[in-house]
Amino acid sequence: MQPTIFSDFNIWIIIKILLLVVLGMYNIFAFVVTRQVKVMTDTLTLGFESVVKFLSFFHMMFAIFVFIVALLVL
Amino acid sequence: MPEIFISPETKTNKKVLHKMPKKGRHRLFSAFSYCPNDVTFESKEKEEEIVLMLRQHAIVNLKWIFFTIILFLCPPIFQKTGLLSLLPSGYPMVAILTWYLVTVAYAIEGFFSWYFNVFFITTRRVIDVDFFNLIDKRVSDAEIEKIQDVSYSTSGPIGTALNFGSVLIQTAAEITELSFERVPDPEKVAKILDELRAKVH
Repeated sequence: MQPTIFSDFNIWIIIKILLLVVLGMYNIFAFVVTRQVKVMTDTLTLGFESVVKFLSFFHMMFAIFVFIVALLVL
Repeated sequence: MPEIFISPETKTNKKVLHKMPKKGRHRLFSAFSYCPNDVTFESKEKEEEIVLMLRQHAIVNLKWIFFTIILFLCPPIFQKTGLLSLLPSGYPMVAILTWYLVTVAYAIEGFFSWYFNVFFITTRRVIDVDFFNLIDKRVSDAEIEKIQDVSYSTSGPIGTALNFGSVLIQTAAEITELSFERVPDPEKVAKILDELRAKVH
């Protein structure tokens, strides 16, 4: 059988690219969340601001970490 | 000498005093704070005082806490069942990390939705801060003097047992209706609002 352009086609490369795109978009979302939390903590002073900011920052750092791991491991 | 008779008046006074809400510093995750002095919001004016700060009853957090625990327990189950071994090398780790990332986002969203969903009753206004999800919020307010009607309701076995419910405020302002949902002690909230309305009118 003649080799075609699709014979060497690897579905996992497509999945990897899609996963990286999704994780990249998730990073943008995580950044927006930190901005939103900052706006909320500026609007409301409820006595727990530092922990709330830390939670949103931790979420963003975790998203970046997962993106880097996906980039290196896959 | 043992007391044979206690005047009913004394009993009533004690009961009323016991029921009076405490003023001052609010507890960190309190859903009902009367005159909290360490809480403020951006648009608060100098002469304006916060009479009541409300959140949804803490019991509403049980849902997201329960699902977060379930989501955290899923990856070890996937590993035990051998589902992840079907993936090429590297992918199981990324899949687990992504799963935990989504779980963290879900938990944070659940907590923030409760924490930032606050209702304020001040000496001048009623303010409803809605935090719908991680990227949507809305702040609406109405002046006390524009409030036309206040009603409250308690429904369901949990609401009745834990004494939480909804307070519905009809106003003549641009936003015709404000609703405080699943707040503790709705009767007391309505009473405080009525007292404030009586003072203003």
